Amino acid sequence: MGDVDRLDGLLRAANGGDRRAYDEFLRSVAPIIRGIARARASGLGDDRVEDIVQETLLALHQKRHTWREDAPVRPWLYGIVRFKVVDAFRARGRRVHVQIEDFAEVLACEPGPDPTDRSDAERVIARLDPRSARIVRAVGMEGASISELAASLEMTEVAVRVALHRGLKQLARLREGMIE
Amino acid sequence: MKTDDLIRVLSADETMTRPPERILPWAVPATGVAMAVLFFWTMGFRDDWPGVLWQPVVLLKQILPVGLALAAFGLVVRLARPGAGAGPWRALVLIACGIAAGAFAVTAARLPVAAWGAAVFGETIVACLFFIVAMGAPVLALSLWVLRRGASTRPNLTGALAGVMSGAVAAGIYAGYCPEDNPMFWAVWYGSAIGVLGLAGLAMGRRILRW
Repeated sequence: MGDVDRLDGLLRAANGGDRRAYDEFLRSVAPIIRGIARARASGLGDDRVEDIVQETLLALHQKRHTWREDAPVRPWLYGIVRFKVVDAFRARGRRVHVQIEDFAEVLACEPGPDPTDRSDAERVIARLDPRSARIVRAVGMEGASISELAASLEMTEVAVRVALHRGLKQLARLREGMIE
Repeated sequence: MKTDDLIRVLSADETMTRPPERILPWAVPATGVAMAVLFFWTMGFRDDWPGVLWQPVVLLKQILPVGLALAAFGLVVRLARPGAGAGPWRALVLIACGIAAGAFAVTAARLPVAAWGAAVFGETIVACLFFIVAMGAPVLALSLWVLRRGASTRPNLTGALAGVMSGAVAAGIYAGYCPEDNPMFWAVWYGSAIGVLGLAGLAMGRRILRW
């Protein structure tokens, strides 16, 4: 399984500060999460599944420092995804079971139709303080860089980074209470 | 927001948190030392300490809580990291509890049944429960607060073990003051105080350690 080494290397580089590696890591992991979630989503629409994928990615991001470089990534990754997917379904009133063995058989899934304005992320971002919301949207949808934002918002780059970090933290917290 | 957009945002956020295993190894001992200083400064050691530690039963009373604290600590740190496995720590926690139960049983077997009541109840139950719970509570609060940075996939168990660890730290301190040397006393009451903190840790962990 050469793929194992690839994820290890990507996350190691990412934690060392390589943003491109981190981006690739998340893009490799998202289809796995989607596969697990969709297999258990009977009756839940694809856009709701995508909400769960995003929620899990956000949690993975918040907890990425708990991976130790001397351990393989997958047991850690599967532990987090399993916990968070089960939790996300529970928050929506469903009990699902995810076994670690399920990950071996999961079919990586491409995203369904794009989540609409009704998506959880969209509603939660709207609740952030205006500046954090602006930064999150600009980075995500317009692909703005930190330095561009610093210039246009008349903030230092450090302040933009801090606002982004805080915004994401708050995003994770707000989601808990805002699930339909 | 599309998932691709979210990923772009996430990879722009470079601020990393420190994992609990980088904080707990100094935070827990530091709190324990602070509790010990405060406790011995106000209450003092037992008069015959440390000479009395030559007696095996007293020594066991002193080191068993410390051993339990170390084992529970090792397990808690593992639990905060998904996919880490328990390693040898779970066995060590059980062994420490087993030794306490064994000491109770051996002592009970040697004493006439009529003497069991006095052996178990001793004379200082209230002080024992009070001091261990009171000294363990700050350790537990701090541990849970640090453990929030972790990613335990079993918040209840992690909270309970953090409680056991905190109680064991406090029992290790209290043993330097406690005049009751009969294992039938300390196995029951140290155990109960540690259990109380374990339950408190469980109740708090299920809320605090969710993520």
